[in-house]
Amino acid sequence: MRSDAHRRSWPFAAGAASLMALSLAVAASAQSQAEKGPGAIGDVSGQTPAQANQAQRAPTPASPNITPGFTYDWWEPGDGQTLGAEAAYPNPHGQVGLLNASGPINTKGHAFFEPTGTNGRACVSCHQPSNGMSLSVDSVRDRWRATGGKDPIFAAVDGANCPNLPQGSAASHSLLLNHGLFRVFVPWPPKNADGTAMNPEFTLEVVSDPTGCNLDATYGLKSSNPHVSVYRRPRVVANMKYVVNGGSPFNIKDGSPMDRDPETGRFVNMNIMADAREPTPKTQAVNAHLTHLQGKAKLSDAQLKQIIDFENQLYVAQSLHQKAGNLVEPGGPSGLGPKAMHAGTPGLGDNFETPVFGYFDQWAKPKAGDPQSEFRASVARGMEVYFTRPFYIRDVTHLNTVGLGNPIKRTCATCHNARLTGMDFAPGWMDLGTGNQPWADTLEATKELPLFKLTCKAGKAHPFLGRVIYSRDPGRALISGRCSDIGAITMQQFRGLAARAPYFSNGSAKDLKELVDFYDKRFEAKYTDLEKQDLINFLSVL
Amino acid sequence: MTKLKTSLVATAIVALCGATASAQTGKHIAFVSCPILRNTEPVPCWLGEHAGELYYLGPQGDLQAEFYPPQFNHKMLAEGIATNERYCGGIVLKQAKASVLPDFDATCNVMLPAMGYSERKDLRGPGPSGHRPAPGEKAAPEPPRPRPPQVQYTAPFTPKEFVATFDADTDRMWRSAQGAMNEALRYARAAKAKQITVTGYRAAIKLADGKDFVERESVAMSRAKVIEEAIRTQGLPEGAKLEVKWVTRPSASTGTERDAAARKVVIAVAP
Repeated sequence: MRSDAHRRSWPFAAGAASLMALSLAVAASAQSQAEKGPGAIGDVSGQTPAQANQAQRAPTPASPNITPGFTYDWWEPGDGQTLGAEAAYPNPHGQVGLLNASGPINTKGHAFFEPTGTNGRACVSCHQPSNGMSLSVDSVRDRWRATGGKDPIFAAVDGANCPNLPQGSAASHSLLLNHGLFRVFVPWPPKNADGTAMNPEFTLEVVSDPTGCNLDATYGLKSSNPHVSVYRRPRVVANMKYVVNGGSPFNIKDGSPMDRDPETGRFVNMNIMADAREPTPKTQAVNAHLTHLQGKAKLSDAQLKQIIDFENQLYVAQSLHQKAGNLVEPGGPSGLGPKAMHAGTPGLGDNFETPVFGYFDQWAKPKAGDPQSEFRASVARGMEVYFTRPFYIRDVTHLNTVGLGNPIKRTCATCHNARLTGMDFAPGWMDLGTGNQPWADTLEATKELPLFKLTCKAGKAHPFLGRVIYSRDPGRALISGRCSDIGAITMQQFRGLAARAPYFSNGSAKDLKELVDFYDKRFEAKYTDLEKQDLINFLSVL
Repeated sequence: MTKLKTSLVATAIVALCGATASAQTGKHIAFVSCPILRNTEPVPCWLGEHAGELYYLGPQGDLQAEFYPPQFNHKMLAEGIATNERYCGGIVLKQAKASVLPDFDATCNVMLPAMGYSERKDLRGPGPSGHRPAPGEKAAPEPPRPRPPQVQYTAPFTPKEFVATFDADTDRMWRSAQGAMNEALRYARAAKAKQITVTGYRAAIKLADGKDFVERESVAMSRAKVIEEAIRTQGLPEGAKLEVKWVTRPSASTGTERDAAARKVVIAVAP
């Protein structure tokens, strides 16, 4: 059982811990405490020491190769420029806008922008302003071409399909180059908050693995530091007041206790990561530095504060659209552009008083022969499809199991209900089917991913797939150890979508059309071609 | 079949159903079956079938609703009090509960056409399936209602029990169980409790066919342990000891609402 984790302090000095000390600290903690269940102590989550250990085994460039002077909309780690209070960057649909609410950011020496680890990366490497603070696969390919595969984003630790592969070969980085996927390696069995091993409800076998990583002697499941490797897209680091909003004692989805902020003791909403493995942006930053950046020691408190302060004041949304024109002109829809994100209030948008993205009445009536007006009318119709066009949602764990019934006749906005982001106001991990068979395999791209067989122990089962589940990414279950979480992935925000294709956590929808098509097929929504196009257009202006 | 024959058969079914409803009115009924969904507008209604009769359980709602619908791919234990009212093609069960049984059952997958039935909009919880209000019109369905004010606990404090109830065969804490646990903890804090005793139970439920549905033995323990975990996660009041126990013997079935009430954890708070 979990017990008062927030009242305890992590038993080593911040910033002074070598990885060895980190491991020893966890061991000491495990002996003295009985923390059970995922989570964090201090500002370090239970899985972080094991992950950091694997990260340190992965090779790093002898001298990190940071290409100077590259002028495409790419932010180099450590380039020291000022990020303006407002900025706009082109993307295939128009421009994504950024707003630094606290004013221009001097990035020189700033922990978000400096390569604080050992592989040349900074946070900004995978959270690029021009990509809506995520990373598009187009940008990844540009970097490959521009640097011959030497950009730090291709670091072996997670920018390759597996660190054991020959670096510099495109085939070794195929998942990143084809689908924008980074390797996420989590310890198996999962770790409790105190770093001790959990007893999961299921066994895990590798059925096939095109990457080879899960079977590798150093990085795989049978290594001395066993890890599961799955492959996921970087999430948007912006609009955080919406992303971290809320938090209550119980998870409305399954009745279980929610994680707490290990430092303040406040309940968190568990919405910041695909598998909710890090309770707060701060623990996420600690973990990301030690794993993605292969940091040798923890960031200092001052560096962590700098990162969190930056993230908390940053707002991102599409601001210009090639067909819709200026999205933020006076008198336009109230929910568009980064200033709307700054001005807005987090909350539940699953109702007619406070609809998720506001109303688009201003654009509803097209002027004949005016392409911009016709496109805007399509966007307005797309919002209505999103908000009011019902279809039967069935067999989605953590939606159809939460007391609403299976199936339920509702709309996109039922799950994507949080104001201005379209996330889930509740902890948003659900098994939509993008990771688990049979639905995952309708997405062609998933065939490049590992396939796992998960067998639930007696008395345990996935609610709609039974005791034996085949999954490309078991999602939250790799952290919670629960069968009911197999394949459940936390949904992402909808802002700046145009800047950061592909979509879904496993990058399996290469564009917005494939995304809409998946939902149409998965839920037999029977959207008309017009409804589909309207939805796509609507999503492209967010 | 001729029109006359069809009419006679229909009349006989209606008469039979009417007689069934009449005989059962006011009686508590429990049965295990697949749930059935009728595809009504604006939201579907949920039914259960027992002994050739359809029972109306409730509409698709929201998490603030009293009735939580069942799930396809799982059988349910349906419970409620039969009325003489029919709705959505079934005898209305008052205080209906639908416990989702854990085993996967792909045969539970029946959706009926609306057949002219519709769902009552006034039972629909908040959500976007209603309609956008005209200027000056109140939004329907209404947005979530504010929570009622909390009871303030004041001295003198006496030993007090709080009861968290559960659906059949599960330790899943729904809203009412969470509320009971939260109240117990609030009372314990206010009373500076020295002892909190958590006791899990399991039940036997008398079914309409005369058999007993007996909850699995482990559920009494697992219910007690989820309450324990929740208490520890929220923070055991300073100075309080927590005792956790469970009763493996199921309650005796009664064929009344007491069967559902016996699926419980009692949280006893001693100042």
